[in-house]
Amino acid sequence: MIDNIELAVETLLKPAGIELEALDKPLSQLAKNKIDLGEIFIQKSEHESFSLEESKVKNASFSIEQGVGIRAVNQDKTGFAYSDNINIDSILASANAAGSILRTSKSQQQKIISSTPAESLYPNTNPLSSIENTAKIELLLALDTKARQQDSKITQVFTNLSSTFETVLILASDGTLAADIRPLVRLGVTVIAEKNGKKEQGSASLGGRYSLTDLLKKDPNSLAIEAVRQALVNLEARPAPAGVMDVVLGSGWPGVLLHEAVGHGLEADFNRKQTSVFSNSMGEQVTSPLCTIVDDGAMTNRRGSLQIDDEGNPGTHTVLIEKGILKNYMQDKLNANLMGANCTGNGRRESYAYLPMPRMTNTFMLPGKSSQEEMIKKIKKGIFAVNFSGGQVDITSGKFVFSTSECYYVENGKIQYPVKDATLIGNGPEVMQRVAMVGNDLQLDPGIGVCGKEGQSVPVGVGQPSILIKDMVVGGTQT
Amino acid sequence: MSDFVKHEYLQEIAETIIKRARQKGADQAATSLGRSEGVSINVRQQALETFEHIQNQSASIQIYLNHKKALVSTSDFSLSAIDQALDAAFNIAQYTAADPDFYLVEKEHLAFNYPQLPLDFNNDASHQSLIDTAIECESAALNYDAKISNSDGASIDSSRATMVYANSHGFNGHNNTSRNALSCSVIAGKGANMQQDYHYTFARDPEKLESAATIGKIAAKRTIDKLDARAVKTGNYPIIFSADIAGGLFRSFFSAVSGSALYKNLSFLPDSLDTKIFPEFIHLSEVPHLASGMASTPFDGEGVKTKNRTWVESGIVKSYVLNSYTGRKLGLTTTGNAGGIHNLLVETSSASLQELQKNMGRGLYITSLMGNGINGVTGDYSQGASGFWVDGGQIQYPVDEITIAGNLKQMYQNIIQIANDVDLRHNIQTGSILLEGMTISGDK
Repeated sequence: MIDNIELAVETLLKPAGIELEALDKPLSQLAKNKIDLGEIFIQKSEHESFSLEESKVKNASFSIEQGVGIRAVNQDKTGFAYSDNINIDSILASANAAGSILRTSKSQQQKIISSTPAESLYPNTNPLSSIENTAKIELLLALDTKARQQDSKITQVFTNLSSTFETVLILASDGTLAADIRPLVRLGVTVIAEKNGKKEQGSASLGGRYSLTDLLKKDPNSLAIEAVRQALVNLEARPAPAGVMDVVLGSGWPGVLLHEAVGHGLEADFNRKQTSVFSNSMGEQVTSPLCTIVDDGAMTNRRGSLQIDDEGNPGTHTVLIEKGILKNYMQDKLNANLMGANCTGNGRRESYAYLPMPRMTNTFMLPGKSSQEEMIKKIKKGIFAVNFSGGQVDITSGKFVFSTSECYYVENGKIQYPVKDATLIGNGPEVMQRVAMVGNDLQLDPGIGVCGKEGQSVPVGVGQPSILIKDMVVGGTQT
Repeated sequence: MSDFVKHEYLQEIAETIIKRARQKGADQAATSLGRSEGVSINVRQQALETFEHIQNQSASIQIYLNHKKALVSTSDFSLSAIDQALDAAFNIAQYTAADPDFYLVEKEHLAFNYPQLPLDFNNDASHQSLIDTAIECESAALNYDAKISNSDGASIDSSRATMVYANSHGFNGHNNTSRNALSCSVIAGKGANMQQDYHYTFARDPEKLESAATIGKIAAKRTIDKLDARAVKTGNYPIIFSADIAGGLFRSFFSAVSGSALYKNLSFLPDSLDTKIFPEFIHLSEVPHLASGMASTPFDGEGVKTKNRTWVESGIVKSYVLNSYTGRKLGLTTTGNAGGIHNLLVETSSASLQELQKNMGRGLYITSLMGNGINGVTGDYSQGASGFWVDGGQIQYPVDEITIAGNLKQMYQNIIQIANDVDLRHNIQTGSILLEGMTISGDK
């Protein structure tokens, strides 16, 4: 079996005529300054996208991005420089620039030590070439046909297939030598349904870290059926209720609740700086005891998974909250060092041109004992939300929002009718204390999550079983 | 000026790309190249936290072949990388479907005599003095009031960029810009009752930045004003969107009248040309060559002349926002807006923000929005919000953990007045906006 370090060296260093050992020199250059950590991060990424509209695949794009990012860290101070050129002179110049802002001290020769390869979570082959381009076009056309066949009220169909192939190589003064080769694919459908002058949309997507051959085996046509179903439901939607009420959330993608309500607030940088509402809460009861919430980067084929994070630490199953008690923050090297904690494999960056920081991988709640049916029966007047668009959080005040994209009004324990999109708002720790029931139906999202933080986007996963939360503010128009 | 952002080199590369594309068989081709260089500095608790050297470049190339097209991007400007990118473009193009409207904008629309806009200024401040400015800014915030308990820090960014666009009609134009920004974010309160807020200044000319002390003090005041926020009873109230966030209302409008949303039938304002969408005192116009504008540009993303234009007059939609392709799909001509609108000015009343609040009497003054609960297809609007409760025309106390909901079509008709406190730091420059009839969800 070829190991990923060999493959990364082949892809990233060989074309530039650089030997792996030659990177000792820029690491030593960094070490001339007063540093806890000097790091070289080399990356190449290929991305391809095909899009269909008006029943034709008219838009296609392809891009290549590559470069080197060099970091010098001293306690909580970081010097950073990067270059789009992978060659030894640029790397040395960047090392010079990155380290220059920190005070100089004794020089130490850095030796690169190989680290143990992490568990294999996804194939190291390029998804862009895993099926023929003609097959990609056929897939998009088939989805279009399927969607239009479902119902004559469907007037527009948009489909998109995108694939990314990324190679990273990481060397650092703490002995890190690691590489990762990451596939990522995503297939999506959006439809517009019209009736009596009303127009609504429905969407469905799936994806993950696997090849397009694997994607074809996951019943992609079901996406067309699901998108149409959603659009037709939304056509019948009435104004959503406004006010404070009980909410049942469906399983899977509604886990964006956790991403916003607790996820960001448990990233170590905010807690080290004590700017998070969860700062100084280690060991305390922060949610209902029914909740155990984890962040797991070590799941096979998942969009949010990482064999190694962008600092070379293996993707890890980390228990964030156990039966309501706060157990761990998500750490990267810089924050773990300052907090005296262990790294949890959450050091991520959008690319070589950005600094890493603590980010989520796949964040979800473990299943409980109740059924979704039981939960709905408990609602006197409230909503049952099965799909969401996205969310946002202020980690200092703890306020978070997430917006429904498929939702039903419930009265006296029965689903009455679908309602229009509404934003739900709450205070993370307070809302999570009001989780009254946790379902037995854990699902992860179908592979569609994008997380933004400080201008950097990374792919993530979310998930949960069905949940009943008491007293959430629902932003409808019907008072 | 550093050699890295000199436009002549990029214009040469652009020329080479167009030539190579034609040599390889493209009917037409276009390319956009960019380079930027600068620094991004964060300080926190009065010490340097991060120092980033910025230097990047990218090129994107669009080829047209028998009314099929493909787009490729690369960050490598070497001839071999450009050839590889072009080969990839030709490869994927052959699999796509042709569209009779896929071809370059007609030559007569191109801005061959584009103006040189004064958007690029040197900043010769040393790295240390930039760090000192950020530290001074944070210090002003930390010392503003004892209630300031923590800091997210202050940031200072300074960079210069050059952008080039060229196509096979012989157009090859450039635009040099600089950007300088100073911001500060602090925290007040403790434990479960913490609030954070920020303030910032932006300018192309570093001399035009607001002072570090001013930014720090305003950041601190905004933060303290949020402490001890309460919820509001669920109900219908008039609201004022503060000038800082009010532009979002018009941003949704411009998305809805963009050619892209219209031809795809994804707009909540279909067939809105010459119809009255807003009250008659609403006038929206675009001024793309404004020297102080956030989004000034001498030509659009297709090299088309940018010019002053009225989008809405007396509440009536006068034009859609179009590029060459979306124009063709609608049987219309490009408006020179490939890439968006450029410096949108909203006409205001002569009322100050205080007068607007007096006029409202009793309602909410919203200063911050959360989430993306805006449905562009239906106009349905539902956002998380925070701000202040107003009664007797005066701010009474801060409010948060509420949502505001309605439908944009109705909200536009419900605009009552716009104050003269225009926020110049946005592409869409507007004063605070008073509108009625929003549903607020808060306390029971």
